Amino acid sequence: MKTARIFLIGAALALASTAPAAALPATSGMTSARMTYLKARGHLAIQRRLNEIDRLTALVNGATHLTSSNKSALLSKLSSDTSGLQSLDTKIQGDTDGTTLRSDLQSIVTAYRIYVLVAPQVHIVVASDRVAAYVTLGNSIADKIQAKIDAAKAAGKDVKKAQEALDDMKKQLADAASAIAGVDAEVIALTPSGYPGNRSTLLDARSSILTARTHLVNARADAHTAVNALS
Amino acid sequence: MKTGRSARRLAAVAVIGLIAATGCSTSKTAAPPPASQSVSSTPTSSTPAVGQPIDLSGMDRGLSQIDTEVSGANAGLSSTSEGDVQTQ
Repeated sequence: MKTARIFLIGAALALASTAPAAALPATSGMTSARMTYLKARGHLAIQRRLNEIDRLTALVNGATHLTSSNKSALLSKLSSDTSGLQSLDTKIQGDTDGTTLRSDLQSIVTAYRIYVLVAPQVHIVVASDRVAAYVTLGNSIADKIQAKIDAAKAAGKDVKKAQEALDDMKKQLADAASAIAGVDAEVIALTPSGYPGNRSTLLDARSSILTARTHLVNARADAHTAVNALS
Repeated sequence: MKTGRSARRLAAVAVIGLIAATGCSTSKTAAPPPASQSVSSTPTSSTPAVGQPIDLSGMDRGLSQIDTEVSGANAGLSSTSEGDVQTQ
């Protein structure tokens, strides 16, 4: 099946590049050979996007830290894009005039924006929820460090350095959580029709993730400082 | 001091031998673990166990996972066009 499809596409491409255009009937200013060629190219472009969607779907399914609502929203979007692109492919292969074909080919890009919008959307939402999960983990560890500090203090030890580090760790974790607040919802809401105007939202979201990351790096260093100060 | 330890060790071996010989199980009479000994490696209580070492490896791993996703986003954000679709 796959081999036959590849053969057909190859044959179409070969025909389009070698057949004399003037010998074929024109449809809305486009020869039928040219239409066959463009349809084959369109099919390949759609297949590439479907492969990318498969990769993104696997990423979302494997992201165990994703909130159920974000996971559901992303999978729903990816599934909708898959069926939409498959329908578009069918429509393109059946197009009979050049004007409609051109319009349908353009919509492979404009109606979906798989590479420049959907892929960054998925990665940013996954990253955002990773930051949130990291903050939860960090707060849990901070509680354990606090218990150790309290015990050491009760035993008469000097815990000043450990407590200072822990206090900063908690602040850094809170700042990281603050940096990504609302990022996931903003990014999920973006649509292909808003592109490229909404690209700035993606860029801002990435900046927020990077800001949060800096706080998490500091929190991790604080955790090590506090633990080492207690040992 | 040394003699006392040897005597205790000998007594312990004798008790174990007696249990093995009579087929008795120690499960019913086994003493609970001392307070400082952890029964499970995963604390089930929200109260952290003071005696346990603090594992920071999760914090080390988590950052690289975030980096992976940022790299994935960068690929799409580095350009505004999807130039692989030909319409002419």
